[in-house]
This record gives sequence, C-alpha cells and structure tokens, in this order.
Amino acid sequence: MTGLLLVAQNIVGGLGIGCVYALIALGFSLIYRTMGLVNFAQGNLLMFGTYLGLTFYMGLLGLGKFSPFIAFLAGIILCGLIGIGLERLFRPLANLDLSYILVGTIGIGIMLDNIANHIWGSEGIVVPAPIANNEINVGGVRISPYIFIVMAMTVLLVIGLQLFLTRTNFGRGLRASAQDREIAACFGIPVNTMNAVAFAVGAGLAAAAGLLIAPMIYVNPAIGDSLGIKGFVAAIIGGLGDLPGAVIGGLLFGVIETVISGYISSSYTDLIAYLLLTVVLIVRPEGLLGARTVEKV
Amino acid sequence: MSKAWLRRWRGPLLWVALAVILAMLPLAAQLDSFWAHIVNEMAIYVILTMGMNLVMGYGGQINLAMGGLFGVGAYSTAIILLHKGSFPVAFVVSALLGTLVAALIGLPALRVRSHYLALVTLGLGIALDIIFTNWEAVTGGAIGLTSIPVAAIGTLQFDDDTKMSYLFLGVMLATLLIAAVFVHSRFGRNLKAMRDDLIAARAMGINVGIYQLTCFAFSGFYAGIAGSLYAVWLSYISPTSFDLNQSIFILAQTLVGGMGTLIGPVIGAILLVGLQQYLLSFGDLQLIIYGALIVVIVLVARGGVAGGLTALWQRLAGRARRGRKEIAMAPSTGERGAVASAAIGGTTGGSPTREERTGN
Repeated sequence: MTGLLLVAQNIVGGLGIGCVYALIALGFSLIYRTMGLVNFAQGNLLMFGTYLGLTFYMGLLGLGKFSPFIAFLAGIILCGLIGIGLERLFRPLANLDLSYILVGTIGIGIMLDNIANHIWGSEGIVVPAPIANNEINVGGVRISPYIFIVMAMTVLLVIGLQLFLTRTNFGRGLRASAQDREIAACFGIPVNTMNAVAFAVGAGLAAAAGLLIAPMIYVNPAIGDSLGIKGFVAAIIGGLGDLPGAVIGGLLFGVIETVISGYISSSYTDLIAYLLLTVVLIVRPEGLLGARTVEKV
Repeated sequence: MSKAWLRRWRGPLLWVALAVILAMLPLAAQLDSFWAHIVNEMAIYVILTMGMNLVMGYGGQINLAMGGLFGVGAYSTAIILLHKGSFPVAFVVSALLGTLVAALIGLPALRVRSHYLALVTLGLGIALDIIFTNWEAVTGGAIGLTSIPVAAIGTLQFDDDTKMSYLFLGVMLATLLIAAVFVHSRFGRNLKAMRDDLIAARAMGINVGIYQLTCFAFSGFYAGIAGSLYAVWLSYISPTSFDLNQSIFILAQTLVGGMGTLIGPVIGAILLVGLQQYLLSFGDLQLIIYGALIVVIVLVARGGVAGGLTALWQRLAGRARRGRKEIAMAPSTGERGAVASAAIGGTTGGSPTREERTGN
C-alpha cells in the first residue's frame, strides 16, 4: 500500500471515530453552556446508555430483540431520562467550585459503573453490526461500510440538534437561558426546565455515541472512562461551550489519534494525544475556535 | 517578641499536639496486624491528601495527576529496592522524583486554569499511568512489580504491619509538621492571597508563577513519599493503583475532610479509607453505596467535615460574642449568602453576621 493510500485510510477511519467523539463533545459543551457545569459522568452515562440500547437490540436481560433503529432511539430516550434526574441532583452543585462538581459528578459515575456491573455483568459483550460488515474498496482504500452509518447518523443528529436549538421555541429558550439566566427567567422562560432539557439532550447524545461505536469495540462497563475523557478533550479543543467547535474538535481528535496509532505506536496513542492536548492548551487555552478574553478582577 | 511568636504559632502548635496524640493512639493501643494494616493505609492517604490539599486548598490549583505522581514514588522505591538499593536512598529518590515530575506537570498551570488545568493534569496523570503500563522492561508492564523487599533502615527491619506502623506514622507526622509550618509561613500566606485573587496577588508584587510551581512541587513531594511507603507496604505494585480513579479518590478524601484546612485531609483520609474497609462486607453493592455516599457528602457538607466543625465553632463563639457586645445585624437569609458562606467553610443557616464571616 502506498503512503498516500495509507493516509487516506487513516483519515477516513479517524473521521468515523471522530464522529463519535464529536457527539460526546457536543454533550459536554451543551451542558456546560447551559449550566456552567462540566459533567464528568458523561462517559459513564455513555456506557449506561449503550447498555440500555443494547438491551433492546440484542435482547439482553430476557427482553426480545428489537430492530436496531428502535433500540437506538430507546437507548437515547432512556439515557435522556436519567439525565433529567441527574440535573435535579446536580442543580445545587452548579454554583460551586470546580472540585465539588468534579467529585459530585464522578461519584455518580462510580455509581453508574457499578450498577451496570451489577445488572449486565463485567464480562463484556461483542456487538454485531446492524449491516453486513464486508470491507468495501474505494480506489484502494479499504473502508468498513459501517463507518458510513456512523457518519450519517452523526450528521443527522447534529442537524437535528441545530434545528432544535434555532427553530423551536424550546431550543430558543434553552439558548436564552444559557446566555443569561436571570434575564431569561424575567421573560418567563423556565430556566430549570431548560437545564433539565440540556442535560437530557447531552445524555442522549452520549448514548447515541456509545451505541454507534458499540459494534466497533468490545462493550464492557469500563468503556465510558476513556471515551468520556476523549470526548472532553475534543470539547476543549473546540472551545468548551462552543457547539460547532465541539464537532470540529471531535473530528480533529479522531483523525489525529488514528494517524498517531497508524504511524507511531498504538500502545502510546493516548499518551501522545494527551501531550498534544497539553501543548494545544498551553498555546491556545481558549480552544482552537474560542475568542480570546481579558480577565477582569 | 516571644509573645508575638506564641500568638502567631499557637494555632499550628495546638494542631501539631493534637496530631501527635492522634498518631500515638494506635501505637499505644498495641495494634494487631489487621488494624495496623488499615492504620498504615490511612497514613499513606493522609500524606497524599495533605499534598492534594496544599496544591488545591491552599494554592487554588487543581492537580488530577496525583495518582500518577503516587505511582512515580512507588515505582522508584520498588525499582531501587529490587536492585538491592537501601530503603533510605529509595525513599529520598522517590520524594525527589515526585517533586521533579510534579513541577513539570505544574508548568501548564502557568498558562491555564480551572477546567483546562484540570484536564491537562488529568491527561498527564493518565499519561504517567500509560508509561507504567507500557514500559515493560522497567515497570513490569500491566503485571507490575512483585516481591518488593521490606523497608529496612540499618539493621531495623520493618517486616510486618505493626512495625511498619511506627515508620508510617512517624513519616506522616513529619509531613504534617512540614505542611503546618509551610502554610503558616510568609510563603503560605502569599499562597492563600494568590488562591483568593490571583490578579490582585500579582498586583501586590507576589511572583505568582513561582508559587504555583512550588505548590505542584510540594504535592509531588508528598505523593512521592506516600508512593515509597505504599511500595514497601504491599510489596506489590501494578499500574491500576495509580490511575485516574486513584486521583479522584484522593480528591474526594480532601473534599470530604475540608480543603484549605490542616486537619481536614486527615479526617477525610481516615473517614474514606475506613468507609471503604467497612463497605467491603457489602460485596457487589460496595462501590454503588460508596459512590452514592460521596455524592451525598459533597451535596450536604460542602465545607467538608472540617468546614462543618468550623461553622459550628463559629456559631457557638459568635453567639457568646453577640451576647457580650450585643451586635444585632440584620440576618442575611438569602440562599446565595448561605451557599457562599458554606462554600468558604463559614456558617450554614442561622444568621451569619458580617463579623463572623470575615472572622475566618
């Protein structure tokens, strides 16, 4: 295989995994923008949502098997409901110091991990892809067709989110309360409900990301840890709270990661990715797309 | 002169006396090896939380690489002991390497803060763990290092938990003493000024960068020491002990005890290590309960246990003072005020007067 083809192959693969990171990053950014709270349990929500969806898809826990699409929706909706519950729990945390948010949300993460362990077991499961997974050959670049489904679903979800935020009253209210809580409340927008919606959407996006990546990995209760951190990294690269930035950050991180593992070393992929992130943050702490601000006393 | 000295150091001296008494209790009680084992674990975590507390509670930085730094100390000691080095040498090397690596990790703190610093240190902490897992020739890879020799100073062998507890509690006391002196010195006061308002502190001529780096270096020093003890305590180490969860566990202990106080981390470490031991009997449900309790503690006791005690003390003291001076100020019952004062470890509920709130 020539060098150029290898690059193309890595980029396509990277964009596929990058879509998943983009969805997780969107969840982080959306919740941060509306509540000012970094939900460190996002990765654990992802894992939980994945298991919920797979329960329908694969007929776990004695349930019958459902079509992939219904299972996908069920996972998203159920995980969103958990998100609503979590918002109520975290509401008092939003005004506090970062370290409290960190420990509070991570406490929830520990719970979710171990509840999943309790319900579904820690062994892990292999998830069959919903379509036949024969690699197709596009001009010498070998691509798994499932990647296109991941990309298509991501595009659909991102467009759906954008329409929801800009075209519906609910979405406009959500953006208003993200911009200025007090004034939005004066205009009769139920800001707490909006926070709950943001949390639900964020959790739903996490579940979607997990379900999309499930056939590509070995699903176990620990998958949320590294996926959550990588999604957070993507959100930071794009500028935390910046939604288009989250998508770009996710895709970028996916490609970088795949290229590193293709060319340098697969066991040190994460190490290099984190070092790169450190450099990015030191050079541009506000993210690649963020505007520079001057801090006031 | 001596009176001023006494006034200034009265707090820390009292505190040190209390710590000494606490540390002597287990020794006096002639622990059996089961309890000595737990006391040793507590001592290790007290050192770790004190390091975390110096960087977070006093420095206002955030260091999520603590687990990784802990590992640096543990691996250094293990490797030196396995190559027939002596324990005192290994101990010193662990502390120094921890300090050095922490200072390097602290470099980004000069540029980034808050969530970003959390992420950078988190990433670098994980990076350390990745190195432990993959550098097989030196660290033994995922399996780790086994049969690490026992600690020995000269002919003194610390070969069981009871003997180790003398060493561990002694080291713990020394580190607490260093911390107490540190935070009450001029350096510590500048540090607190920096924590409360970075820009104002800089405007007052404090070289903020040096202080930030020193904080990190200190946390690494403590983590290195704790790691060194950990390696000889279990005589077995593997990368899973030094992952992100370890950092979070240390952070949780620091928060539960109360950040920015000297006694807080001690309480937090003892409570959470004890809790973990107790919950072992719940088997499968252990970690679910554990997670739930952490959430509850963070939601309910925001100043930590030490913050709660301070609030109680101030309430009692304030009541007495009010009785004498008859200060009657309008109670501020606003939710925001209560939350704010709770967050700084002040009075919760009741009617905090302005005097009390500035009193801490």
